[in-house]
Amino acid sequence: MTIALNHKFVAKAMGTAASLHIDDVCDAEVAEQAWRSVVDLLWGIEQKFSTFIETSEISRISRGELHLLDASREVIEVFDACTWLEHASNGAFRARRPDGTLDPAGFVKGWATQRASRLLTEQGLNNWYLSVGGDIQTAGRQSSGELWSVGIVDPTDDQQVRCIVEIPEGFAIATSGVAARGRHIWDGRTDQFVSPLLSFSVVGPDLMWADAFATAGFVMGAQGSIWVEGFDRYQAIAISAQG
Amino acid sequence: MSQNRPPIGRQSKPSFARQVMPAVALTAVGVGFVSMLDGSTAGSVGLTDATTNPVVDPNTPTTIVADPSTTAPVAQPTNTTLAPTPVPATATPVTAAPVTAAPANPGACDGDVVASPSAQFRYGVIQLQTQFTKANVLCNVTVLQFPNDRRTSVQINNYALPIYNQEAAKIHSAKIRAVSGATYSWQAYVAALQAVLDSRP
Repeated sequence: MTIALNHKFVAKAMGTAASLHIDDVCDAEVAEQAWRSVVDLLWGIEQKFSTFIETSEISRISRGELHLLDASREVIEVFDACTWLEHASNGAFRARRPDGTLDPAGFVKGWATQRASRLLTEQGLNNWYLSVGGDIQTAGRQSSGELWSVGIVDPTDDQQVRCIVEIPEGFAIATSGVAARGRHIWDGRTDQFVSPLLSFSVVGPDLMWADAFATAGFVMGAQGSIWVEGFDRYQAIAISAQG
Repeated sequence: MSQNRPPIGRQSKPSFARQVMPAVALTAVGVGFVSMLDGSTAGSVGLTDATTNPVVDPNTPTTIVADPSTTAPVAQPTNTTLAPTPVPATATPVTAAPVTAAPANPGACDGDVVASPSAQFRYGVIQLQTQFTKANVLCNVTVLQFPNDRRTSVQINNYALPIYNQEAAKIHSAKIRAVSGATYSWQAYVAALQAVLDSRP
């Protein structure tokens, strides 16, 4: 039994890296068990939702082998949320590729991370953050007593931090941008991959919505911030090129 | 599902006074901050998006390797004169570069110290300080003034969130515990800033 103050974990999940930092004073075994439950949940969700896995429910739905209404509860839940978001964003967010195939990837990562976060709370952990590819759910504070401070990566240089945000207790942050994977966000209204912004971050109480709003807000461009701030307690940080 | 949905729209606007109050308060704090930080180091964290050209802290000059061919990208722009002809010592160096008190040696980097004029480049003002050996060979370049991060602008409508502009500061800032950006692939994770934070004790 080893009691420690800081526990850090990394694993491959959902095509990216999942990182967990726990700042609670707790037994290393407790922290490790919590981490294993998080990874198991993320991997399970990946098996259901990945478009890269032939046997995933999403792939089967896309091939016409499975009707959406016969899918599992989680898949229906995600598509229910995606449908609501398509309406709320006036089409800027879409869970379909331009060719019509289903791809809720823009929603699943934040949703999955938030679900995994619940496991940490259930296991009695109070001060931690879970990041899946830069979509971060926090709880409590750092061991120093400060709020979790998150650097927003400079979209023109991914080795630099452009600004620092202190995340209110229990809040989440997600960022959409052009940097790492190229222009992977398309505008559902015009079927084009464009945005005048370089990156768009949303801070708010739930990661699933922060992530989804970041995706939609990035596509909306200049109107994105105003749209996001119409949702209670959600806040946008837009980074654009300076002319 | 529906219980997860955030409420849409705001029912009513706060009164004019309540809208203006935070701005007034923040401006006062901002003015205080700026006056406190005035003359302080570059890359200081401030509440306002500083548009002034930061002067690199003379105590911690960014030193570039002696080989003039490796002074890129800072020295790349052609309008800087990096000709290895030292200007007579009348040019006042902006900072006292840590000149090593080495014994007289033709190869030692202990010759004239020259500050270049500040030059406007695409990304801002750059000023270099060059040093030469006794044989007038360029041996050291120090960046005195580095551009503020002007390539991007950060926009936040509501100042309810504590957000700090980070100017040309690296991840090594002890403050940061996590980074958020466009999603990196698993393969790119190793090169991503988050990996630094995960491996830091």
